Amino acid sequence: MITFQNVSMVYPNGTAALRNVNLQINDGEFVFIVGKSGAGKTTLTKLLMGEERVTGGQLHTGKFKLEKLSKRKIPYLRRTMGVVFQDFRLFSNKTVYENIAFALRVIGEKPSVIRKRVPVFLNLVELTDKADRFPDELSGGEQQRVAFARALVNNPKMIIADEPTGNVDPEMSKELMDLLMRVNKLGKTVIVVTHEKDLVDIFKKRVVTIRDGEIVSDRAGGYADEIC
Amino acid sequence: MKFVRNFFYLLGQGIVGVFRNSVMSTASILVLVCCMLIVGTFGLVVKAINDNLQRVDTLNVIVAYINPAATDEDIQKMKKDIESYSTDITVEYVDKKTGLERLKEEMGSEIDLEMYLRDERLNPLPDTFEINFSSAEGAEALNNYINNLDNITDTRHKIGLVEKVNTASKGLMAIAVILMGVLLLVALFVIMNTIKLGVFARRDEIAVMRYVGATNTFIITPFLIEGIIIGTFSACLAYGIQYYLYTQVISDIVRSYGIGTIAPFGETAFVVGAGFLGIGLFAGIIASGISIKRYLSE
Ligand SMILES: Nc1ncnc2c1ncn2[C@@H]1O[C@H](COP(=O)(O)OP(=O)(O)OP(=O)(O)O)[C@@H](O)[C@H]1O
Ligand SMILES: [Mg+2]
Repeated sequence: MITFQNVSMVYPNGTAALRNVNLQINDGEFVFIVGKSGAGKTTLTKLLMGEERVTGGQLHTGKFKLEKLSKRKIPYLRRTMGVVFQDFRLFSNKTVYENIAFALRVIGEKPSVIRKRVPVFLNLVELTDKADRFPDELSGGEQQRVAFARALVNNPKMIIADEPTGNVDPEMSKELMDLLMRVNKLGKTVIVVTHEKDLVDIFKKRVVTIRDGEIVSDRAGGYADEIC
Repeated sequence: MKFVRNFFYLLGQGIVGVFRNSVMSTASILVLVCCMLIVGTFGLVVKAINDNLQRVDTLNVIVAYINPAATDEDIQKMKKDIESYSTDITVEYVDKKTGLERLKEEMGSEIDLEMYLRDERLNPLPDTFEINFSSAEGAEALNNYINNLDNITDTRHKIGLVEKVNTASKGLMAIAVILMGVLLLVALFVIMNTIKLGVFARRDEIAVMRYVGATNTFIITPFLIEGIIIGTFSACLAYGIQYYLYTQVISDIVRSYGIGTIAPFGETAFVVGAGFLGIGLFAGIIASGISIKRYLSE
């Protein structure tokens, strides 16, 4: 479970990116985070990943109390979540296979486990035949699927995706969302920041809207009235 | 098990790192090798000088000239007196005939001494005692004591020379230490840049590694290993070259100029090896540690 309690976040330059945010996300939930550019959506995901720290309030995810988590523990927090970004962030000098395997190497997984798990996830994102390609030999949608596989391969509790469909065509966007939906059905918490009104409307999931650093609406079966 | 697995993976990454940046790695190794060789060569030369100093017995000798008027009895008594001064001295009586023969041997055909040898009365040399002492410490006092004996007219010694050579070899060592310091700084600088380039080239990779939950140790280790490989390889290379320099070049010079004897390399091999490895590891670890630290504290 993730809980934000009166969370605020002020950047060192004085920008108040989040103000008094109260939010609870249960295990296994699917949540869209929407809002205008500069609203504070990315800041919210950065707080969850421990990339930035709350400057006020409390933020807990599972057993991690992020307002007082020591730097040394951040890698272990990250292993409980798979993260996906608009710009993919793959290792450009590693093959598709190696990119996915890397998430397992980092946690010291056995080679036999790596050999077993990577193909499963390659298959999940339908890239088995492109396992030996390098990222720059793939389309945007394919690269993002590699990123998804890497995020999922070490079996995290939740997936955090910040505009995962920002760099792919509408058809691929739909496919990626479908993939997230499937992942959610496996019991994982999924948090997706997006600008895609159409998709949000189609999926009828919980929608949290942020404006100027504050949560202005939180609807369950939702459609988005404030996107872009 | 997990640790071992990680270690081998990271070892591989470190080796890859060395070759990824082979020009800079080569530069690092060259500077380090120079640094080690200068220290090693100076050290070995100074050691050879000291060894020879100790072996050259003429340095630890006082020659005392006996008054020609002294009787055999006087001489016997004096010998006992000097011998009783200390346990670690030996006293040898060299009469003037023996003295002249020794001189002839030393001089060879340079001067014609035949005339003096033919007629005992023409021999200008005095009878002498040759007093050997083992340690330069207290030699000055011993010399004074002998000089003040009745029937000793004068003494000759090279006690001061030992000190002079000692000062000279200390000077040599000081130069070596300063050179080593400067070169070590250069080596640190070059290795630091080598590894910084590696870190810089991989900064995006490092950022992504963080996202998938890599610990600092996991991120740093390949760079540390890169530094350790550079340091160790340099030490091995320098050791090989030093061996050659010592057994071929230095020994040859010493032997062909008859400066003295030189100890076999094996006697100091361990110290040289350990010293080089120490310098290499120190430089490698410090340099890579510093280069990577900045990127991790972000
Ligand atoms: N590193 C930073 N330093 C200072 N201010 C920042 C920093 N990152 C973001 N901000 C500011 O914080 C506010 C929230 O930014 P954030 O990136 O969270 O917005 P966002 O909702 O993700 O926008 P977008 O939809 O464009 O990605 C903005 O006003 C932004 O200018
Ligand atoms: Mg954003």
